[in-house]
Amino acid sequence: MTTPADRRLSWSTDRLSDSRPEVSARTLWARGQLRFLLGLAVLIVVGLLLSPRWTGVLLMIGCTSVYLAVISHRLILIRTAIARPDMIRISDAEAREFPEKLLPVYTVLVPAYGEPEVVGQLLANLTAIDYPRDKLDIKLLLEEDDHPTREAVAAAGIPPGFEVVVVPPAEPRTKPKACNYGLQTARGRYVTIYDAEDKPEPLQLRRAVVAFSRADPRTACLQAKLSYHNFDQNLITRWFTAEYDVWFSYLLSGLVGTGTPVPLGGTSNHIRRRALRTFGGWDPYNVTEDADLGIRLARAGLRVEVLDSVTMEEANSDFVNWVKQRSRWYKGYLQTFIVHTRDPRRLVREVGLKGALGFSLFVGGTPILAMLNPLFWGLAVLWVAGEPSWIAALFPPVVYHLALACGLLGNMATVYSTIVCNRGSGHHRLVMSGLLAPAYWVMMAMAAVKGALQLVLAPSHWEKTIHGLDLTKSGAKPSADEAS
Amino acid sequence: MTSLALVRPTERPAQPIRRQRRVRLPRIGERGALTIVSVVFYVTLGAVLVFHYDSVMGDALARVSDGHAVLFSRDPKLAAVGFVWTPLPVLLMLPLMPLKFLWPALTARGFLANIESGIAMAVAVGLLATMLREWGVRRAPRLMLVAAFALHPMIILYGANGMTEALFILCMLAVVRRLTNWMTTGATWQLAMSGVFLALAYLARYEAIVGALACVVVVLMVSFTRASGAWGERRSVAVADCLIVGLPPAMAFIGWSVTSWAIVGSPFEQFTSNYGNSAQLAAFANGMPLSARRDPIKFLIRQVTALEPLILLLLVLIACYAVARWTPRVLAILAGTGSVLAVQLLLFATGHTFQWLRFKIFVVPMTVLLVGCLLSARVRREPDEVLLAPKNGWWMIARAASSIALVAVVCGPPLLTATKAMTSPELSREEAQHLPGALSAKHDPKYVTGTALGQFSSDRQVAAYIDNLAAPDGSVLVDYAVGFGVVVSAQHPRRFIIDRDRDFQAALADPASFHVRYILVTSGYQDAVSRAYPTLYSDGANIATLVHTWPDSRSRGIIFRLYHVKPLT
Repeated sequence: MTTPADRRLSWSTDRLSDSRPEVSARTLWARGQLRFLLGLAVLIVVGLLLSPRWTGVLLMIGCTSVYLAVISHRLILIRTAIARPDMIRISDAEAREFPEKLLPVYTVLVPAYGEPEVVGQLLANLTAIDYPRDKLDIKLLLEEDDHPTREAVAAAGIPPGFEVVVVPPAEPRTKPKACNYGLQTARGRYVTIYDAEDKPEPLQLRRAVVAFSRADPRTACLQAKLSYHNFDQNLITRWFTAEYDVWFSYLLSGLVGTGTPVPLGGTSNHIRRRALRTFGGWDPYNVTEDADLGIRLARAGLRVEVLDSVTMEEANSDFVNWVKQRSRWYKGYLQTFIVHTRDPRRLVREVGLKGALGFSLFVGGTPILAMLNPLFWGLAVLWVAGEPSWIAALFPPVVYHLALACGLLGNMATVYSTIVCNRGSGHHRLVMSGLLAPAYWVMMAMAAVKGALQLVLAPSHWEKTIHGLDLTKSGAKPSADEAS
Repeated sequence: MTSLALVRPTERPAQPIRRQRRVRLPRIGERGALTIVSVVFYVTLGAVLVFHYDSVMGDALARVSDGHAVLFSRDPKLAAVGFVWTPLPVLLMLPLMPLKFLWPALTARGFLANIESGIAMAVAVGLLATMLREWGVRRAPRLMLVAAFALHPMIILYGANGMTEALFILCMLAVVRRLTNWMTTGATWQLAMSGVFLALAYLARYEAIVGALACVVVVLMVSFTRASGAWGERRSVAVADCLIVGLPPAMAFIGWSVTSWAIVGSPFEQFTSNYGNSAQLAAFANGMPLSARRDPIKFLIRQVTALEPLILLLLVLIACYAVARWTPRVLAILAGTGSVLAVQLLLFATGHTFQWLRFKIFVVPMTVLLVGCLLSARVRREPDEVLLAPKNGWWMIARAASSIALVAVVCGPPLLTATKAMTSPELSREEAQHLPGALSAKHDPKYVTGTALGQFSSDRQVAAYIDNLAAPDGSVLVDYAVGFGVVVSAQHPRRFIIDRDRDFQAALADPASFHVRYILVTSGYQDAVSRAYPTLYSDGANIATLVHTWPDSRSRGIIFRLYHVKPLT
């Protein structure tokens, strides 16, 4: 006999993969994709055996073209965002003056795992939200076996409007599974997710309601901007903040402006609950379920917009921790890319050629760019070291020099556009650290390689990110959670 | 009634449905029209100069030959672009270079350079019109100002003659436009674009580095004074803005120097090479007129005021205006154009550069922009004036008339004075040598030895001679610095081993065993060949026998001699 909890659990884990296996990451590779990859690998090996030089040329041309396309696409996105800022802005007055009677019930999902020490902070941040208590449906999603956090929550006392949802233990143990579980009892017309350490801007929910009330009915989701409160902690947090600034203030806005599917960011995405349930919630097997959801919404003909409201998070300040977190993101992006390109023709039919291309360049391009970058740096180093003879044998000078020039120009453009975007959005203090960004790319490259390897070895493994590293000064212990 | 209107706000008055297919012509607009007319004008004039008068500028043909070496030499490679001069003019030509197979004169006569300068200057004309419109200069004075720029004799000549001045002016005008836009809107994006154009300007002409420094200083001042908050905050904003405007030219500078260092082993070929500025300065020292050597400051003032007679008066006017009503736009103009002019004046006064009139060409755009700035200031003041004076017909006419008068008074006279200066061998040796008819009446051997029209005709004869020899590829050795005119006009450029080929030094060291059959040498230049074999030109240096000598009929001072290398015994 199945209890309601069991039914909810099976909905959380299997609903998407059972009802729409073609967009679930449970089985990652489609047969056609595997055949394609195998064929490509055989072609390259045979090519290298028959004519290393021509194979080298073609590979170099291929890599350079991908690199150029991804970089140019980003510059186009930034340019679009600057020329036509596609972001919904709701003023403080508009947000406050919205009639209280018309405010709907709003569900806030807060998944937490193994972080008892941030509970106090979490409750404080969430109670600061400016929204009628009786219309708030805040669900703390705690794992059944995570006793420390559950005890900490019980000890802190649950304020009105909060509800603790205990998620039964089951594989896959990911954040999207917990969110799906919470979603089933959600009462709100809109649903949003905050991480345990998030500090949303207090008017964010009201702004979202006003924005939804004015938006096209096809707008299913509003992504708020994420930024970091601890950006001044060290160089890594400065780089991270600079990157996030470009990502949320320019690239996502550019995606909206060019009609490209928008991969959602980890938290602060406000979604119409009905749409979310219709499409089976989050994919529990995808480690960037947020990005995947954005693409699925777009494929269903729904829109994602960017909301001008900031949620402050904690930037990862530790090198190893950063690489882990980033490798999960890259892995998730690759998963998302693979899942949605299983049937390219259908993708083109659903989001248009431009949308499909933009999706590939953005979601597929992000991890690929991170992996290609060291290749071009390597070429540059070899070139300065005096063009070794095997390079001359493998690549004709024209191809080699063009690849080198593209690499250098691309790198310069990336550094420069980041600096310009940071200054443009008022983060002028990040500008100097932007000059050192190439060192950040080394970290990205490591994360990308790790993510790609893990994609093959453990596709749904969730790299835990440690939070609370910004609190160490005040004596609190860092914690691990599954949400980041 | 009111309620009805509220209920049905979207109802539109009934309109007859008309489906009419109209042929849509692309809208050209003022900028497009000006650009197209100017392209036709400059390029046609360039064709007349090149094909009718055989007036080919040495530097223009040299840029074409650089691009030619990249694509069509025996050892084609990007590194053959040469590192003494800037790469942008050459790189822009590369895509059109293969058209030489359809029309050989594109490269043989260097006409590609004229096309490039014509297009660049024409785009600059269109850009100027756009900029003045953005500043709020009304149509009549605006078009007059644009005409004063486009029809200035120096601008016409340098739009037509294939030199890099046009590209440089275009880039710097774009810098000024973006900087002034940044000053009015505060948009970081505009500032970034001015930085990018500064980088392009540096890759077009090295002098742009001074413009870049001046722009950084101006941005620092404007940004710091405008930022709000504590001192540290304002400093951080100003530093960020400086970085945005200064980073692209800095990257261009570093990138080009590193490339040069990695390929030819010296980061600043333009100064240090045998063909660089310093070497040329030494070689041409005797060509400077006495008046310039005696009193360089007076000479400079004569040159500048010949190009723009009222520039000093205009500067005083601008200074008064700046005191009365401050606008940072003046700073942008001075940084983008004035700085380049100032550094040329300074370099010449201290004996570090040539007396060429073209080095003062930036006084022309500077004057036009300053007048535009004065006129735009009148627009800005309009709201107060409207309150004071009723907007009647007479007032409008008076205001338009005064604007037009200002433009006419400042920009009219140069049409005469500049033409006069450009045909004067004393004030402008280069231009006078290259302008048809300039030297016929008053050719004074004190200043120039003769006209430069047809100066590459002997190179073409040499090329034709070598084309007719039964010489295989890689059998004629020549230093490209003196032989570029020959190689670029030859039908078989791959016959030549030039100093940009990787095996040039080996071939030079032992021509006979390297299967070199001929060596082309010249008098007058200390090129690589004559450094290796100092007596080769006069007696063959025991390794070669004279085949042919081409007498130099023109002023270039180069006599070609072709030697046949003695075979190994």
